[in-house]
Amino acid sequence: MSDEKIKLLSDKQREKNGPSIKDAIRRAKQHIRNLGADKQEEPEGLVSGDMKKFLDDPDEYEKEEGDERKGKK
Amino acid sequence: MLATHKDAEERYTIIRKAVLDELNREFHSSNQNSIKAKLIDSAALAQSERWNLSSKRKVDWAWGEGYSTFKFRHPKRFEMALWHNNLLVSLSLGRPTYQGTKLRLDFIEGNPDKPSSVKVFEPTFLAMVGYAQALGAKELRIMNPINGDVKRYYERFGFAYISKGDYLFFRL
Repeated sequence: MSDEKIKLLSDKQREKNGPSIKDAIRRAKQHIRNLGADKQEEPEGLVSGDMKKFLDDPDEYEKEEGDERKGKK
Repeated sequence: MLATHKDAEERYTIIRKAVLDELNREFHSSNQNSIKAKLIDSAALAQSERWNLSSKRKVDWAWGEGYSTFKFRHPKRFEMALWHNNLLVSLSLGRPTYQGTKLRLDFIEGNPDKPSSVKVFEPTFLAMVGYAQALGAKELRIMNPINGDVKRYYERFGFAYISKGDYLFFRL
């Protein structure tokens, strides 16, 4: 799919979903302000996750989500 | 790549772009014009390799390989490359759970040498909320915080830590 077509569909998607995505982002921003999290200093070297574990064995890494997967049809 | 996989990749790329476009509009409206959220591309992956040169880097992840493997397995993934002008300040990658009810942040890394005034988690949180909204997910999860400081920082945003599984969650 060309970039132009993706952009066109993206614009259409935005028209369809835009207000709700926009509202969700605005609500989240207000939530951050309400908690004062925007005033907190971010820890140096912010990192989360275990990419090594994922790359070593992606299947095993994803297996840990077992309880979620049980219900998968 | 199967046609269904390719189709899913294209459909979710449209949604990913729509969310990041909305986030960029939010940056613009709050006069944060130096910050831009984009999809992860070759320019971002190339810049991430420079993080290896930093003595402050806390992990030695290979984002090129990690992104490529994750991308292939998860067409519905969440992804974001956050830029401050021409400097890559963070990369993040996650995915909805198999039921689609939760959105996980599997990996996030801030540029170890970014200016301290530039925050990367707040925009990531906003992008995740937007993507969760588009997908209908009702919970955000952050997997494996690297240390107590980072964990406590997430808790300031309203996340709760679950030691069994080593993740934090936030109900939307």
